[in-house]
Amino acid sequence: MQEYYNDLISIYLSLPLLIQVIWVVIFIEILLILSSFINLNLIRRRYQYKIIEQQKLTDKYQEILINYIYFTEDEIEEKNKSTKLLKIAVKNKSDRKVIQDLILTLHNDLTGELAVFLETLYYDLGLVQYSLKKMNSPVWFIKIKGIREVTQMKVKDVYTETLMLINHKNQLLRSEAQLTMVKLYQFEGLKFLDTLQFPITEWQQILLIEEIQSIRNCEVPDLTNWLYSKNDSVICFSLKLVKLFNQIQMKEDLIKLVQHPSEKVRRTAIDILGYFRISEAKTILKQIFKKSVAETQLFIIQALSQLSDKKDIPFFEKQLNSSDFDIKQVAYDTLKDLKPFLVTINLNKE
Amino acid sequence: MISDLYAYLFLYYFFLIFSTIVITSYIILGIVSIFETISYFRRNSFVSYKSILASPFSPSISILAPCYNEGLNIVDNVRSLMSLHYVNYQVIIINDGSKDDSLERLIKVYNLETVKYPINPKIKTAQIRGIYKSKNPVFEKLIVIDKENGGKADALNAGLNFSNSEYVACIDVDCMLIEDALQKMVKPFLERTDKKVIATGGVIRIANNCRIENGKLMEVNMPKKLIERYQIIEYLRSFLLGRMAWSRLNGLLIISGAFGMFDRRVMIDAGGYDVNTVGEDMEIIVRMRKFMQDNNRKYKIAYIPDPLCWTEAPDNLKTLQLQRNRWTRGTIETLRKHRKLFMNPKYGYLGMLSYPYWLIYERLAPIVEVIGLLFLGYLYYLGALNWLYAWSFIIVAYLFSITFSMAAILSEELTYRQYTKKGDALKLLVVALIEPFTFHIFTLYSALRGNFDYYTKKKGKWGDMVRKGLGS
Repeated sequence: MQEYYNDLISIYLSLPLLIQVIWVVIFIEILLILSSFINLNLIRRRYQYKIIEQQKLTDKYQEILINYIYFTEDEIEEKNKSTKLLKIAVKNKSDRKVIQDLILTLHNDLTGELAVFLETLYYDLGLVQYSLKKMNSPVWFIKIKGIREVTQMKVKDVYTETLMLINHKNQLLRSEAQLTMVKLYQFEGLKFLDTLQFPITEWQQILLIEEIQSIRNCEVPDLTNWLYSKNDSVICFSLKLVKLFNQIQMKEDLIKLVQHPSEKVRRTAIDILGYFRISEAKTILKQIFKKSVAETQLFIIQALSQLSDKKDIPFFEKQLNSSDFDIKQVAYDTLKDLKPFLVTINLNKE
Repeated sequence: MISDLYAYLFLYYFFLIFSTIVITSYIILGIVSIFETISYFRRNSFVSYKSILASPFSPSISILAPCYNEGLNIVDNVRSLMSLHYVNYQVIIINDGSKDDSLERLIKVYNLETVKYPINPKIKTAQIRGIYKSKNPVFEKLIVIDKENGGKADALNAGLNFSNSEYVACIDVDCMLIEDALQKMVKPFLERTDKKVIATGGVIRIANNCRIENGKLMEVNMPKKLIERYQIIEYLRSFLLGRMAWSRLNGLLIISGAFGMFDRRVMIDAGGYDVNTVGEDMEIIVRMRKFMQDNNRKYKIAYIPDPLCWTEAPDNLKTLQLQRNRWTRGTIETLRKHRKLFMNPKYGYLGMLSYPYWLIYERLAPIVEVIGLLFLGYLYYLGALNWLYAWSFIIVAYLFSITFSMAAILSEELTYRQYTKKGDALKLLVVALIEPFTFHIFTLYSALRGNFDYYTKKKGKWGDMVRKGLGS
């Protein structure tokens, strides 16, 4: 065997350098292919095994948990027994994961007293501590998992920790922290806007607004300060809140913002002025129309279309000659409403 | 004799250097892609799409679906498109002068009537014959544009002229979109604040042999025919290992024509689709990028690795050859049209990296490969072939191809796991083992035919592929 091996080595060493290199590459490729195939099979088997094991545990604990939340006051002994059993189970990592996931899933589907039962159980089993531990993890996605868990279980004493993540360099982490602020502390949580240094993406604004919309029985906070924030995205977001909560009394601020240096802020403010039908804005909108870019002009003409009356006919007639089709179309539609028998132009002719 | 020796040495070193660069670049792209795919997968596992479903602040989207002789499946395909989970969208079907009963079927089933509607004439198209909307409010999302035949690009331009949404999703009408496809595709447009996202591309998956009911994907199955399985490996390699990396480097030059989403205004400002190329999907991306760079605007083309769009792949050699022929001609036309970009520092990554890569590895690679094989044959004919060198090169190339396919399969397994049935992994492995000397030779031939047809001005039209229909 040793002789055979030595022969192989000497044959290899007698080859030209390029061929030697190529055979090293071939050897590496063979190793990579074999290891990929073995890994592929291992991953598939492990995955299937995990599913089966997890299903077994899920079936076991689901029954206990469902019984737990539906126990009556007379069944206090059984309830204590279940709690004891679950307390022992959570000491094991895989059991804990299943119990935690089950509680969170059930909590998602329940409201009122039953949901509170599960929140109490989450505390009693000490699962909150595990969630807080995750929240303090240096790995971002574990941190997010922790934040989600404490948020869902309404653990309110994480205000400072969450606020500290508002300006985290990881976008997902700070987005999650912002959502948690709103979910746990409602309008009070919006204070993060005071110190926010990063822009809020459009996507994040949609998520935040959806959360805010679900807030009940709370007075809408004063949005004025945020309308003058140094962070343009905070202004846009606040403008959307103005629209959402019909804060029409802020019309003067809205009119001021149509001259804001940021194009996006201007467009959002213009859109809301039209939506609220604030006729006082007409003059300023017409003034800025000419010096605006086509896309902003479209926002302006759409807003003006909402505010228009017969006196505005010359303005809209002028816009029928616009080189931008969308602007022309809004002008056409508005004129059709203002003087339905007089519009005869063919919009499809350039 | 000396000049022969020089020619031999030149070719020898040329192929050696070319192959080394190709393999190295594939390895780099592969590694970048795997990390990017896993990172995307992890990032998006936390995303909730529920909020955008009903939000009044969700941006508007128009789905543009050109249709040419799709009578067999058009009604089901439209139904599938109208049942997507998104709040603010419309479906615009553009009947590109179909010779069959596509339009009549739509009119009958969806209760359509003609309406008068102004259309933005900014992009010239073949004549519009009529616009139809449903009398039934249930189908209020649906708009059908009937026009003279002008080709797929022309049909998309007609839809683009008509749409007034913020974003347009251009799709092949016979593709099946997953219900949350629009939510996922629109997300990149809404989550960048430093750059304008001008387009998003999605992964195309092969639906042959999958169970589809009422336009919905119920079960993913491995296709039965070998020719379809080859394409699965090929798509996995291309989408999961190639485009993900280019997306990371912001160097994508193509978004599949089967499913892509675009910023409507930028698309119109860039001039819409080019009707004089068969590779309109690649050409529009190159032009939009050029437009943004010419206007000094920061931009990004995003890419989504989720399996959102499922399509019927060719299941016979003739159709497959036609498809590859078309792809080759499209690439040649686009690269030729935008040749000013080549190594032009004004265009940054686009001119210095993306364009040269496509030129060398997509456009020229098949030609270089065939010349290499001919060179090998010539040496054999002369009796000058060094078998040790020849076999070493052949084995290294063959094993590299398998390694790359395995990386794609592994990447799929670690992320989206679509082929989970027992034996699927083995089937894919067998395909990876035999592909380099079967399917690859065929694609090489198709690419050469594409080159030949391009230079001899032979043209194929869209709609050449005979569809059996998904779920049929």
